[in-house]
Amino acid sequence: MVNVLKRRGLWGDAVLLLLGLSGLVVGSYQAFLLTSVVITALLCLSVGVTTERAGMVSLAQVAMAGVGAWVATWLLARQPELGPWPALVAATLVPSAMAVVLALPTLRVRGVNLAIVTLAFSLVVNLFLTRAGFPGAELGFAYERSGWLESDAHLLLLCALLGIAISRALVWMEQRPFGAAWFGIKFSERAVAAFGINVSQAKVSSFAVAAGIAGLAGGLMVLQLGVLSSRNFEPMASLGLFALAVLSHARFLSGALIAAVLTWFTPELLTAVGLAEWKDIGDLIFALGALHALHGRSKAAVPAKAGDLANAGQPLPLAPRLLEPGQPGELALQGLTVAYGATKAVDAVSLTIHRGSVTGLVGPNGAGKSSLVDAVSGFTRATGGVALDGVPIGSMSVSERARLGLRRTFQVGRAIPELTVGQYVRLASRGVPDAATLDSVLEWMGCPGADSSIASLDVGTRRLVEIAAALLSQPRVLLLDEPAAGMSAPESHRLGEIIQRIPRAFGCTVLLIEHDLALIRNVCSELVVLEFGQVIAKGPVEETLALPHVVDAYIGGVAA
Amino acid sequence: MIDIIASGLIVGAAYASLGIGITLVAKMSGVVSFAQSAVALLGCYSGLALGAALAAPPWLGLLLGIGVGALVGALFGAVIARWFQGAELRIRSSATMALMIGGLTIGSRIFGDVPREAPSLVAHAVMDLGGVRLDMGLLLALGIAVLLAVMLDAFIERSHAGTRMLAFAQRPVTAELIGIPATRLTVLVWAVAGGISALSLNIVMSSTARSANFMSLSLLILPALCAALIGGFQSFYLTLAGGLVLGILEAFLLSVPAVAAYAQAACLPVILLVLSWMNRKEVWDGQRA
Repeated sequence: MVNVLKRRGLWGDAVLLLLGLSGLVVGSYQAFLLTSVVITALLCLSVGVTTERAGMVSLAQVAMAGVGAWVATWLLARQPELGPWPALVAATLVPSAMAVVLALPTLRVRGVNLAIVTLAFSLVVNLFLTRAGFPGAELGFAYERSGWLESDAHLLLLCALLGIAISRALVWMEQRPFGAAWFGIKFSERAVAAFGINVSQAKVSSFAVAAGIAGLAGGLMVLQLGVLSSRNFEPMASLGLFALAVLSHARFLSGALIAAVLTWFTPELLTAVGLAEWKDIGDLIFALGALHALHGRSKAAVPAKAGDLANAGQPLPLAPRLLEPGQPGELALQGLTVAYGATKAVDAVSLTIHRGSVTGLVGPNGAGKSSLVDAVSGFTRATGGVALDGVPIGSMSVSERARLGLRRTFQVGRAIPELTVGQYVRLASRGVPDAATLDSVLEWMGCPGADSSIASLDVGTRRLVEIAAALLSQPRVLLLDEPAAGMSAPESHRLGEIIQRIPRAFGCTVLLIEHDLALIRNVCSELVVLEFGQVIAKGPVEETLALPHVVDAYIGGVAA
Repeated sequence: MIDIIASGLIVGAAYASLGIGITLVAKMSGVVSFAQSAVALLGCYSGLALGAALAAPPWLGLLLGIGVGALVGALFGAVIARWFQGAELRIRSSATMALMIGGLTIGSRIFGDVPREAPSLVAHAVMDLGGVRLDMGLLLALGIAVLLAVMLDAFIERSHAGTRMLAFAQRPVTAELIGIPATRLTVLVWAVAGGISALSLNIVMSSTARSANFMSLSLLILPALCAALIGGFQSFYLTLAGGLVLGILEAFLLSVPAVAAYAQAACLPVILLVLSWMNRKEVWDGQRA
């Protein structure tokens, strides 16, 4: 039983359900205290969405709860006949909408700057709640629960059930591109954009979902306490909540519950052991705990280790049958130029990557290979024309190009460690492959199963997973930026076999940037050589590599 | 009108000098410190309490405050240098939030909720300048803020020792490799910033004669952070300007009855504007490849 709960990640939900039901047996004060615990856990979950998932330091979650509480109070005071349910819905939706408005001007704002902006927002909300007051406060309005909700035990049960529903909904979202994209933007915005996902939307959605959860917590506080004041929602409380959520890994319901229990039971415990005098010292303990947790996390962020693929050196099985390999695309560049100030990294490059080919792109360091890929995929501003199957895409955004079937991988591995292979592939392919296709492609390429966590994989395997993910999105053109970097010789040989079969198996044209000329020779049908941003040679691989000025560009040694 | 600007300048000078402390720490130890107001408060309040207990003159209380501020700053700096060297900026700055909460908890435990006043350093002197009466407190606050910006900028940007320290601060691992104790450098920077912050807070408390309690003063961190953000966490002069502009803007809003209640909120639109201007060209995060 315990094992099942652990394996399925239902630990927190089970505990929360028990907490919710315990109200039916314990006294009214305990039920009240436990309700506070569950509401605080909801607030921590909302920090879990912004900070632990999307990597955005938001210090506005308590303020969002304040907005939710204000809205709920307004409805309950002005439209008492509606009852508590519409108030809870409004308490969720209004902060969500407000988060969207706040997020839009801050889309380019990251990390610490975002923390400052959200802290300022908290102050503004607190000023409003202080000056304008809660609706009905001047008339002494206090909401009184009636009917089923009148009992404290029932309110506790309601809060617990809502908590479980939210935690399950978040897990459900994580399995889908919508929620998996949050981990993506935390790890690398570029990687997510290269999947054809709109980075801004992912940021706004995480902000809005988190604000909705916090707002609901505020609404529940109104039901619990009846009357609230601005003192419940002070800006510093957001900071405390943030520290607490970091301390306890509030991404998970179990972590959020631990944080909430700590909040409410540390003072109780100190009182119980005769240290009531020192109740306020709880915050100090949390601060130290948060420091400790952050310290651990800064150490734990170890990059992937190197290691050989288990099946490197084994022969490649027959390619899996995708439902229907599409038609490979043709990529045409016309006078493409990338300039950084006065330096031209790519200088008027015109070339065509033929349909269904594997074309190599080589050149010495600094020749402009990566700038070219950045320009084609839309990460760098460039002049000149880029066309995919005759459609000009030069003015499109990264994600629009990706959705048209132009995919790329990066020199530095960008597989998102917090996801499983399956989640990652579904994020990259925006949910396209069915389980059978996914499994067969992963197996064919020698990737671990869909359930494996990416954090547990070595560098080479992560590379393969990235390529698998790109392929499963059924691109028409795939740009591979040094996919064999850091791989051992047998690994890189096997990778070559895979790349060679991509055009037929997946209906996809490949542009391969590589330093490893052995790999280029094995895999490519055509070759383009860049130097100082210009194409100095193109044509069949061996002939091109034998050209004297190409040998010169490589200073003889490497090409020999 | 002049009154409004004068009262704005005095508050603005406080924002600016606290912001300069934050800029110093950000520039020289690579962390945006949310703990700066906590350091300032612990230092300044200790100085006031010690000064009162010893029946010492105001300037001795001020000096004691600066000393305690430097000590607390050094302690916080040691935590950051020892535990978070090499951690990413987001994690390091989150750590300063935890330090802030810890510092404020200890502070409110020691000093309680009672509003405290700082004895005036210049005893209500007023200077007459071409018909305009200028409060000496204002001149002192403004003078300190300007002096801090000028001195720090001159030392770090113009002196040989300063540029070397800046270079080591930006590459702590390299510095350690060539035998420069980067950890001690971080601690030193935090200590200096702590002293500066305690000084700034004492000046603002004494010259505005505003009595405020411990926790409400801790909110000064927000406008101070905004001022430092306006300076891009790099420029002392822009931080100074940012703090003064914020202060004057607040004073103007305070003078308009309709919006006076929300004057403190002015920093939100200001930093949104500044950030959208600063980030106008930035599109992607992190590494290029």
